[in-house]
Amino acid sequence: MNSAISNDIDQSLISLFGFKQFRAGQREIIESIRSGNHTLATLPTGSGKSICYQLPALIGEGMTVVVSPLISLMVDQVKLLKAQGIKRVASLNSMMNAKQKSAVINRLDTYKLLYCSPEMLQQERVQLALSNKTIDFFVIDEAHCISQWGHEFRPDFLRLRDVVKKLNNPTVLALSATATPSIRQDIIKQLKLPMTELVYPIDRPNITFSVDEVTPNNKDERLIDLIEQKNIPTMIYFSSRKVSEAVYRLLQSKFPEREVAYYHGGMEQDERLLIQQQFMNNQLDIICCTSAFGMGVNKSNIRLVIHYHMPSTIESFIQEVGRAGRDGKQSVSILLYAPGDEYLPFQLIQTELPTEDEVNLFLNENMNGQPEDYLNETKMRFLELQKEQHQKTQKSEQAKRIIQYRNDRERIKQQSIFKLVDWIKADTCRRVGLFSHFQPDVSNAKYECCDCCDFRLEEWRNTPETYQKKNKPLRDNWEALLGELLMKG
Amino acid sequence: MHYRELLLFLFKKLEHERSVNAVFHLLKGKKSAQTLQDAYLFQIENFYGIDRKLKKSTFDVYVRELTEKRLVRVENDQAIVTKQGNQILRGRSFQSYYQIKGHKYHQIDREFKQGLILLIQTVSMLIHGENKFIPIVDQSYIQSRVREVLRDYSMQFDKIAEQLYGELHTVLSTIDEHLATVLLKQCSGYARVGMSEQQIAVEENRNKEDLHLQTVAAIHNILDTISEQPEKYTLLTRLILKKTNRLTVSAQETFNFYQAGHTLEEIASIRQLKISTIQDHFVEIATHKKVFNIYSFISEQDLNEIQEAIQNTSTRKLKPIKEQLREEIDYFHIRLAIANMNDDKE
Repeated sequence: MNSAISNDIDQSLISLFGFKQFRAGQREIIESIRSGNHTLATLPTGSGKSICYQLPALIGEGMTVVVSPLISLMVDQVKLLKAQGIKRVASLNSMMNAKQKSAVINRLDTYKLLYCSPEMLQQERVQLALSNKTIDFFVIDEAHCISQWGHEFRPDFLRLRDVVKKLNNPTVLALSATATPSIRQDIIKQLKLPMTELVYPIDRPNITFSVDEVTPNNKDERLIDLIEQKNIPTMIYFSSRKVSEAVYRLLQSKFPEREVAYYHGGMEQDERLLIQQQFMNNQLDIICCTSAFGMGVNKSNIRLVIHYHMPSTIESFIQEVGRAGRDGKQSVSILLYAPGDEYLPFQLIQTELPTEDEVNLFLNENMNGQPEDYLNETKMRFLELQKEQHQKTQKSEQAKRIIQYRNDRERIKQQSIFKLVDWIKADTCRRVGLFSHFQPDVSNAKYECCDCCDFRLEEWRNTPETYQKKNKPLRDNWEALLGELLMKG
Repeated sequence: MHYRELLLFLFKKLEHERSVNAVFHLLKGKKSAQTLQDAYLFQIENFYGIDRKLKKSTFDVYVRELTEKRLVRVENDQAIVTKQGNQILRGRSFQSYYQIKGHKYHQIDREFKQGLILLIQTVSMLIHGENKFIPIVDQSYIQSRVREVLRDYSMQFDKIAEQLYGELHTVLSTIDEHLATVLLKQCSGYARVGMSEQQIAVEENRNKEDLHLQTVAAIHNILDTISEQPEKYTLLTRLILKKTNRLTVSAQETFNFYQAGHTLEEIASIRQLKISTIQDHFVEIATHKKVFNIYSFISEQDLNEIQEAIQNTSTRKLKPIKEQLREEIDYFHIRLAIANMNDDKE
């Protein structure tokens, strides 16, 4: 490899991000795209995926466009970069108003890195503006969304290959933390590009896995037993906002000396920001959250991740567990499972996908009332996109095709749940069960492995553990508070 | 201070006159002619728009609770305060509850609070040499205001910190100690990230909405003091983002036509709206615009007579006022006269 280039990126890693060394995979991916190879790469969450494109973007001549399905993730990334002093970044998404969007589009020249939602990339105005610029790299984050076999398939991702053409064929980098071999194949097929595949293992040797089978009635009790002994930085994941708040209240009352908080998508933005920052600043011991929490949260010392509810897919389970032990020290994942828990994710599918009747009602133009009145947001989005996709289909065929597609999605989603339930009920090594879908070899655990191998939850549970907190007590007097905020020392 | 009691008071004010939801709209600060006029009509303008993020579901929980405690009875969609409810209200004045002034500050209070929080965080970080941090306030217009302020002081952080400390110390000394503490606990700085209203509420064993009222009161008290003596609070005054237009979009359009020389009837025909709608607009304009000349719609004598009738009946309900007046004076005139009594125009 050309050593001038290597030096170049080593220097930039320090000057731009303050890191002395690349983590596994980063250098190879950066060199691959800088040599002009279209690249498909898998890297575990929390391993510095974003540096793989941020660094080349910032030192490149032209500009880099990043597409991501998660608006909040893009917004967080831009915020983080700006906080690091990297200002030539912006995002373009549907959460912005017309004025904000125009401001970004008119100032494209000033950016090195533009985060863009797939919808925005479909807009002609955006495509036109971008096609006049030199685009060095086109990055597709969460690239598994391109694949129909994926649990998170996004039809608008399929159109990205046309966008790449319109932008004069920049070098493409497709990134994912959770792509099985068949999904990787499908990504390459869908993008119709010759791609270099760089696959890095996504298993985390420092995390110990355990499933705790409980009854619906003693779940809270088991949780309390666990928290009682283990006073360590903890995340508890829920699928329901309501339950996350309820358990938060329970823990708050049981453990008044601990700092507990809750976080979910239904909270005000200001409040979410406060809780997230408190967590990052080690002011919280326990956070009860939904999957809305955690994007862009890079806290190194999370020791315990509990799943109060099972997620809908193995992929989201891996993502959520992956927030633990970023510092490489031993961390534990515990999934609390009560028979019948799978009912919740199955039910969730039904709130996401419209029923056959709803498809027909939506397509029937003569009906009374607005579809928004009887369809939730997710179903509306699903149907609007489908209708658009089937514009050229004969009217009489439309409903049939959409229902067919809906049934396919339902089946894929149900299979995902069954896969996770199988894993929960299995009595073979948890690590192998989780990761062998994604990679040929699963490395040995650095500490204890799992409850099916060498980990004894009861024993661990009964070993009290606590950690050193940085918390200073909060004063209860305004003058003292004001002094703490605005006086030095 | 309890949200529950405030609601009880507001239901009392609108008793037999308006629906339960009128109180919700008032607190949310709904920008409709009806809600705005009701606020002045029933002298509850202090509470207009003080909880702009209030959710209907939260409001409904409070109404249910008041009903279950038998403090309020809901009949035909109206809330009637019961005997027990009246007992709670007896002898207590909520009119100037902690000097909250929603009508005056509802458009600037949130932004002022966020500007203050961001300025405190920024200054606190910078005096500790921490220049890379995530701003605790997301809105870009607030970030750019704080940036402007820093630039005005040529980035002399120690100097800004000293002045900010001084101004805040002076202004907070004038307000209730507890309110000052509640506000400062929500501020973030170098040492710690601030608490949310919900978290303080848990600490104090109160409802989140109670804490919101306290925060709003703190902010309004500060705004009162600094707008009286802006020369004494030059730094804090810079955080007030002026929003001048209080009119609804439609009323603004009517006002534009009016200023271009059109009559009420002409505007109605141009805009293809009912006369009564345009009249609503003019009442709204009379409430908020100093430049609006009420005498183009009402004679000085009629205005005097109406004002007298209002004094005599000591009510702001329209019907009893109308009954005292000559036949020719219609409801539109009375509403204009009431609107004209608002002394907080721009």
